[in-house]
Amino acid sequence: MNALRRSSALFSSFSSSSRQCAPRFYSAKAPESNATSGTASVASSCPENTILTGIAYLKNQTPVVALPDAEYPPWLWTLLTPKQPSADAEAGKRENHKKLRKDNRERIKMSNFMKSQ
Amino acid sequence: MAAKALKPQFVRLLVPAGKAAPTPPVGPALGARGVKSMDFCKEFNARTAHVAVGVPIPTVITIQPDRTFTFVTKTPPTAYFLKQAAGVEKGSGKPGSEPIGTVTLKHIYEIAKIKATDEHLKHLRLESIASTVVGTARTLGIKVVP
Repeated sequence: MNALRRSSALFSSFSSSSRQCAPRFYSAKAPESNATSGTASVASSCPENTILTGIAYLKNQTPVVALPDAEYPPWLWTLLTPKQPSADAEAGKRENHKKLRKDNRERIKMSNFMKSQ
Repeated sequence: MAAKALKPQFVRLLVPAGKAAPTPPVGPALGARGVKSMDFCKEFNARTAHVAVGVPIPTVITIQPDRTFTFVTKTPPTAYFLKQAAGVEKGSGKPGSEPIGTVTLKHIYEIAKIKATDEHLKHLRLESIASTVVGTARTLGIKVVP
């Protein structure tokens, strides 16, 4: 579809009397959009138009309903898969980070506690 | 004693929307710092008039040294949303052993959208907020299904 848009833009610039020699190309058919592909892994257990309870917390708010699967961003379906470790140069780098974070958090909690005394 | 410039004090409270003024949570916490709880409650109830009654609203009340106060309200806690969506009253006593409820990823998405309106979360990607919601669900013992 993008190829079509580009070609039409070129043609329109042509007609607005530009002096350039535009390349002539026969726009190929645009590749299929990924509406159909890539949804093989997505089969939400929540069908369309299910009312999602509890999300509407404002007064007189229309209840929030589930949309069809394709209307949600693609990263949503990857939320449950644990992150794969990319090619790590250092083994144990993740453990270092975890330890650092744990130490930091404990230090913060300790200092918060001392401040409240 | 010479008056020292005091720093403003912060009080964090979780107050049900439209239902402020009870003595136990709000009264002593504010009264001890010299704030008239009636004033706070009137203003709080006015500000949360658009919220369904009873929904817990985290607020941070800043009390100036001259006893005037301002407060900021935030979106309800993620745990509250998750419990409502899963239809449970309380979180699990033993998260990780047996799930006490389920929510779908679509619930997570909608909850993340609401939380993203919060001041302290505005700079995050929606994807990041959604993964924190998933983490909270895990802590509650609520299972997330696609």
